[in-house]
Formats: sequence, structure tokens, C-alpha cells
Amino acid sequence: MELLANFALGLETAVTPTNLFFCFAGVFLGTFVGVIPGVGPLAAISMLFPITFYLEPTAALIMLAGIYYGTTYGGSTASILLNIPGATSSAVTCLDGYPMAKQGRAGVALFMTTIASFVGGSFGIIILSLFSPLIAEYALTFGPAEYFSLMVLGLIAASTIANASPSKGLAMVVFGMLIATVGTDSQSGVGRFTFGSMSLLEGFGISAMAMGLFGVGEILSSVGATRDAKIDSSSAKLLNMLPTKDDWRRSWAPGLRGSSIGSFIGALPGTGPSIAVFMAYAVEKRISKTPERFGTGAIEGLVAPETANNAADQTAFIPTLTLGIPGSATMALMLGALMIHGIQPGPTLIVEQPSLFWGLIMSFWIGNLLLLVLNLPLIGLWVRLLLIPYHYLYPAILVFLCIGAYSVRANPADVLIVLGFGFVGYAMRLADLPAAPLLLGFVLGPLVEMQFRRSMVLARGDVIDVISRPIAGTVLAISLAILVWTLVGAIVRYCHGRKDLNEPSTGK
Amino acid sequence: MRTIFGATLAATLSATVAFAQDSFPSGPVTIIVPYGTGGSTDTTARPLAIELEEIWGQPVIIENKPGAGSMIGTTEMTQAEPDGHTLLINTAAISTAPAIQSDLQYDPETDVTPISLLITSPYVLVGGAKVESTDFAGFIEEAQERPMFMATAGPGSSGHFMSELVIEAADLPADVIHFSGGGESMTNLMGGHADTYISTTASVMPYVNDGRAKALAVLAPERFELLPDVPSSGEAGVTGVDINGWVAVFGPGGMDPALVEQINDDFATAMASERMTEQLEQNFAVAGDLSPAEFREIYLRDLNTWEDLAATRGIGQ
Amino acid sequence: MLDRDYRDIVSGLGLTLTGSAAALYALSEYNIGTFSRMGPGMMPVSLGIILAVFGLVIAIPALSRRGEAAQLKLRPIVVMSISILSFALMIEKVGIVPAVFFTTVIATFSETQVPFAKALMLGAGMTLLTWSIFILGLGLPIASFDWSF
Repeated sequence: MELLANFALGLETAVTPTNLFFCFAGVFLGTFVGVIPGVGPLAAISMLFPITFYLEPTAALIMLAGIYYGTTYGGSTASILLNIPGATSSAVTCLDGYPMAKQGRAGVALFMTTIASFVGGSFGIIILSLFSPLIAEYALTFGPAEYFSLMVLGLIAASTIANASPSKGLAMVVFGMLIATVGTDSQSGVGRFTFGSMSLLEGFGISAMAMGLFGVGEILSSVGATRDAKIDSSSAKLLNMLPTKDDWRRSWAPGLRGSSIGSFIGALPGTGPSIAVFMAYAVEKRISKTPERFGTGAIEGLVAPETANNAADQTAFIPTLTLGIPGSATMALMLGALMIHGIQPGPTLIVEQPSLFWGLIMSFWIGNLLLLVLNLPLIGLWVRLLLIPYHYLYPAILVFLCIGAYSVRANPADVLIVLGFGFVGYAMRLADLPAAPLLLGFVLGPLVEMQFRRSMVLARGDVIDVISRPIAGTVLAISLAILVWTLVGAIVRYCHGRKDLNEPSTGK
Repeated sequence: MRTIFGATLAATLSATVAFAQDSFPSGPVTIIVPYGTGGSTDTTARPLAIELEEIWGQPVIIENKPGAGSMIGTTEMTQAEPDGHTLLINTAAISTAPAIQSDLQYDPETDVTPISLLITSPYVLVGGAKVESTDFAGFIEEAQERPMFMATAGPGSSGHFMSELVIEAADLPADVIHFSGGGESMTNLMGGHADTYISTTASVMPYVNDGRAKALAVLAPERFELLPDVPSSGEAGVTGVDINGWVAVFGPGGMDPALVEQINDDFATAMASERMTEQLEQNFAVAGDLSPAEFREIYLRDLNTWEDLAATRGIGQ
Repeated sequence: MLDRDYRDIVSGLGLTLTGSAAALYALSEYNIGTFSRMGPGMMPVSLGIILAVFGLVIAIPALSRRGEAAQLKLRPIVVMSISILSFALMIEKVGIVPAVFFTTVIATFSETQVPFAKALMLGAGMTLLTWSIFILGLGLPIASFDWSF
């Protein structure tokens, strides 16, 4: 089979000592950088980018890629242990990961995350290997109208990810969308809510915002309050890290679903893993028979986003390599690395540079395997991290957050943004307003607006034209159905509630 | 006695001055790149920095300061000392962005010293999957029957301004649609959602060479020597679109002209190196060879052209 | 327990205020356009109005409901603000080494548990750590020491 021949070719390239070394260097670096809150893959890759000049293209790309998906493995660690996301896409991991840690199940959470990351990554690699050219072609048919409908689906489906009252959750989604309007309007070039500041013209960086909201907000809440002993040293033992049969049983389906969603969304040019993560979590919560467990330490709420994250990381290479279209800023860096070496990604890359393409894919396998082997023993180490008294830990975290925020574009204003959103995050915790929907609105809002306005330009103002496109129309119809179903469900529950109030209790 | 003393003094002073100029740079040089790491400007600046390090014998540091269509990095450069140790490498965006930027925090004429035109290439108009013509004249005809959508990398980008210029000059019934970057524009072109995209040769030729897009015209009075098979807009009778894209070096306002000349020469030497010539070839671009004064003319001319265009076409409303 | 859920009332009204302010500002400054040709103002105005409505939806039921009071801790907020502000100010003016040191030490003042001596040690430790990771290890183009005067 041709595929096996390609795998063989790839292995040949990937298993050379140089490439193996750089693969290891990349994933090792990536894991540690990923754990540090505030310093995400973008920061790490930007910092290491100049080194790639001196390396061969294959080696350079293997290392950068290793850092990229490696940081996703490490990013969940901080989310679970500290309720502070290590990378923006790890924000959703906080929702169920941190409660698990508080219940003394930090080791289990970290273990499942590592396994989930491996499963998701492998799934993504399989898709990448088998379907790259097909997916690339198919992705081209997605125009603004199709993206618009997809983003609407994402908004509606995911608007109930928080456990708070629906009005609070929805209010936060809208608030997030409003905050995202700050900056240059993508369609007219006009600066909105910028008040003459150049730094605000780019809007709030999502990294700075997430770190402020989740990171500083968390620190402000925890500091000064009495903290219950989180764990004792026994939970660092190996036995206590292993998930129970029940955990495994509950996890395999969400894992598959998360991987699929992640693979699909990651492959679309222009969408990053963050969206995939939200969708995966939202889908799990909706499908679950016990949605109220989400947010309190449900293992499904951990596994689904984690598999989605890693799957999306891998399939994000599809548009990057086959079309030359980066799906995120990090992918743009990868492209840059390729172009420096004179390699032009595109449909002919697979044909003209098979050893590069397949060598890269095989190195993904190797890298994911290395990460699995590397991370499992480290779990004990990370859990021990929790034993450090918090009053030494939080200044360290604060410093990392500041450095991470600054390093994105070397602008001190980003550090101020972290502080500002720290206030907002703290205020929101005091007011019991959930932060995850805010992030969701912030990510999806501008996409919805941008794609809608573009679709309108292309349809010359005719909305019916937009809705009647096959893919767009179907997705919008599904969104509408979900919306109606949610509303009906809410009304039914409300009526039920009133009925129970009116009837005399039967003392059940 | 006094004459000898005076002569010695004069000789020493002039030697000091010459020494001061010869000893540029006297410390590390920072080159600000107002775009993210790995972007096309960055990938031009970094190898160039390596060449310059050899010429100058000092560390040359690249600082990425992206944002606001290159305006954040540009503004920061204008606030540095005009001693040549802080420079900026920017594309023609430095002439287009001010046209739609309200709250500009520097004066594009007095706070910026144009130093060296590094790279120049004509703008190429490429057509996407839905366009049937293969040359500009055919395209204009096709546009009359089916009004086109011209993709841009974003409002205020050079492609945006060029598209507006083309619409005006060729009287096309077309609409501009803004995407976020060249990559997204090309994706939509390939998918048939938009029809044309205008950018420099470096950005679009890879797609043309792959057969994913059609080079309909170079926007110049005559054909481009490196792309002999692509018709020119001049051939199709369209004038007024003859502006080239460029990448250039700038310094803060008020730099000493002799210093500017010297830096220009040093950059020219660096551009002539093997590493850079290879890159130019791959990108179908040509090294610039204008004097700083000549380049300043072009810079000012472009600034005015875009400002006028923004006013007439209502860009940035 | 308070007789009214002040927490929700305040937060709801806060959201209403924010939403209305945003909508009004956008209405006066930016072009709204039409539904088919949206201008830059359309989104902020619509979102602002919706947010204002949601704010009321949160606040009004809270008027007739009992609720917990919120515990506001002033000291951590003030200290952390100073700490982060100092980082923002120092990082470009004096370099990462002093910035990290001062940020760390200042931050420890949020609580009373950290003796000053230990705070200094933590500051030194963090400085060493960040210097080795970011400057030595990753080669970030940030000045370690950058006395510009």
C-alpha cells in the first residue's frame, strides 16, 4: 500500500539521530514551557525561531512542531493544579480539572490528561496521514458564509458550558463579544473603543486577557483567604494516580468525540484549537445524562477538551502544509520557518518533498510517544508542586504571567491588560459570574461578525442568499434547532418547578 | 606658529569627525520589524541582519514590534535617537497605513528619514478559481458581465489601496472584500469565493507557479523583466496604477545626510550578498538602487497618492 | 444573609451600565450602517443593548431574593496592582532582572505570612530562575540590565 511506503520513507527521515534529537529537544522544551502559566506555544516558538536559521529545514520544523504540541501537553498541568491555564486553549481544562484536584484526584486528572493528549494527537495524526489532500480541497469550499454558520453553531452550542444560571452565562458571552470589539474593525479599518491608544488598535490579546481573567483573578481570590489543604503527599504515590475502572469507562466515548471534533475544526484554515476545545466540552455536556456534574470534577469534562486540543494541534498542519494557509499565529511561524529555507508549502509539497512531509508526520508519532513517556513520571513531580506553600507560589506565578504577557509583542501595555482583566476576573468571581463563557464570546464573537459581514458583501446584501447555501443553511438550521431545544427545555423545567411549588409536597 | 596650530587643530577635528563617521556603528544596532516573527518582512530582515553584522562588526538585533498595520513599530522607531543605531525595515504599508490611521502619533514627513530602498517588485493581480480570463484585457471584459470581488489582506493594506486604484483606473464594477491577511485571501480565491487579489510578487507567485491562481497582470506600464509571460496593465490600456511595492529601511527624523548615505551603501552591500540575491530570485523581486534622496521622493509621492485616494474613494469610513 | 441579593443587584446593574455606556458611545462615534451593510458601530451597539437587558434580567429578580454578601479583600488587590504595574514600568526601562526581583518581593506583601527575609530570597531565586530560562535558555531579546540613564 502506498501509505505504508510513505510511512517507511517518513520513518527513515524521522529516525536519524539529528532529527530524533531535535524532536526530543522540542517536546521536552514544549512541556516545560507549557506548564508555565502565561508563556504559551506562541511565545516559546517566537523565542526559538531565530535558531531555525542554522538548522536544516526538516530538523527545524520537527523541533518547532515538537514545542507546539508539547506545550499543549504541559498546558493542562497548570490548569488542573492551580486553576490557571498554561495556554489559552487550556482554559477549559480548569473547569473540571481543578475541581478534581481539589478532591484529591490531581494525579488521576493529570494521568488522564496525558493519555487523552496522546489519544487525541494520534487520532489527529491518522487523519492527517490519510486525508490531508482531501481535507485541504474540501476546506477550500468553506467560504465566509459557511464559516459564519459554523461560528454561530459554536456560540449557541457552547453558551451553556458554565453551570451558573443561564442568564449569567449568556450575559458573559455577550460581554465577551463586546470586549472583543475593542480594536480595529476588520472590515472597515476603523478603530473601535481605542481612545487614541495605539496599543489598543490590535484589541486585547487573548493570551493577556485569559491570563488576567483566569490567572490574576484566581490569585486575587486565593490570596488572603483561608485555603483548605489541597492534597497530602499520599496522592503523589503512583497508585493514587491511576484512574479507576469507572473513570476509563466514562472516558473512552468523550475521548473519541473530542478527537473527532478537534480534528475537524483544527483542519479548517483560520480556526485554532481554542474553538475546538470549547465545542468539545459543550458537546459532552449536552450529550451527557448528568450535565450537572460538569464543572464539579467530571472526568468527561476533562478528557473531551484534552483530546480535542491535541487532535486540533495535529490537523492544524493540514491547511498549513498543503495550502500554505496558517490557521493560527503559531502556524504562521511554522510557515515562516519553512519559507526561510525556501520551501513553499502548497499542494505540491507532498509530491515534491515527500521526505519532508512524511518525515514530519512520523516525527509527530514519535514526539507524541516521547511526550507520553516523558509526562507520566513527571506527574508525581507536578503534584508535589502543590505542596509548596501558596504564599511562595503565587508571586512566582505572577512573575511568569507578566513575562508571558510582555513577550507576545514586547509591549508593556499587554502587562497592564493582564492587570486590568485581573480586576475584572476578581470582580466576576465576587459576583459569581462565570469566566469561561466570556472567553468563548471573546473568541467567537469577532469571527461571527467578520464572517457575516463578508458573506453580506459577497451576497450583495441579500441575506436569503447566505442562508440558502447548502452547507451554511444546514449548519444554521442545526443551530436554530439547538437554540429552540434549549429554550423549550428551560421553559419546561421552569413550569415543572412552579408545578412542584403549587402542589402540596408528598413527603418523598 | 598660529597657522600650524590652527592647521593641526583643523586636521585633528576633521579626523575626529571622519573617525566618528567611520566608527558607525559604535555599538549594537537595533532594527525594528513592525510585523510578527516569521512573516515575510521578518524573513527578509533576519538574513540581512546577519550580513550587516559582518559589515559593521557589531551585533545587529531584530526587534519584532507588531501591531496596527506596522504603525506601532514605526512609531517606536520615530521616538529613538537619530544616530543610526535604531532603524526600521518596513514595506509600503508605511505609506498606506497613515492614510487611514486616525490618531497617528508621528509625522510621516518630518519624523521619518527614508534611508534605503531594499527590494522592489511590481504588484501582481491574480485571479481565482472563478475567473475565466487569462489576461487583464479579458478580465476587464469579464468584469463587465459579472461584477467581481477583489480580495484584500485587510483595510488599509497595500493590496486594498491598489485594488481601489485599479477599480478607479479601469472603471470596474467591482467590490472590495477584506480578509485577514494574504493567506486567507488566497484561500478564498482558490475556493472561488473571491475573484482577485493584488500583492507583491513574493506573496503571489508561489500560488501562480503551483497553478492555483492565474497571474492576470503586473500593474505597470510594461512587462516585468522577471515575469515575461505576464501581461502588463499598460498593455490593456489601463494607466494610473503604476506603483511598485517595496521594502525599505527608515530611520528617525533628522538624521545626518552623510550618515544616511553611508548606511544606504552598507545595506546595498548586504543586499548584494549571495544569501540575499538568492532570496530575491526566489521572490521574483529586484534589489533597489536609489539614493536616499531619490527614495524619499518616492516615499512622499506614495504618501500623497494614498491620502488622495483615501479621500476620493472614502476609504476608512 | 442579607435581605436582598445585593451581589446580583450590583453586578447586574454594573453590566447594564457597561452595556448602555458602550452602546451610547458607539452610537455617537461610529457608523452603524444597515443590516445588509453593517458599519463598525452595529456590533457594539447591538451587543451593548443586549448586555444591558441581561444586566436587568440578573438584577431585578435579585431585588426580591435573599443573598450572600461578597467579601472584598482590599490589601491583595492594591499590592498586586503595584506589583504588576512595577513590572510593566520596569521591564523596558531597567531590564528584566530588577523587574522580576521587585515584582516578586512586592507581591509577597499581599499576605502577612511571608517574612521579609524570605521574600528577598524568593525574589533572588525567581530572578535567577527567570534569567536562566528566558535570557540564557531561550535568548529573549529583553535587556537583563538596561540602565538608560
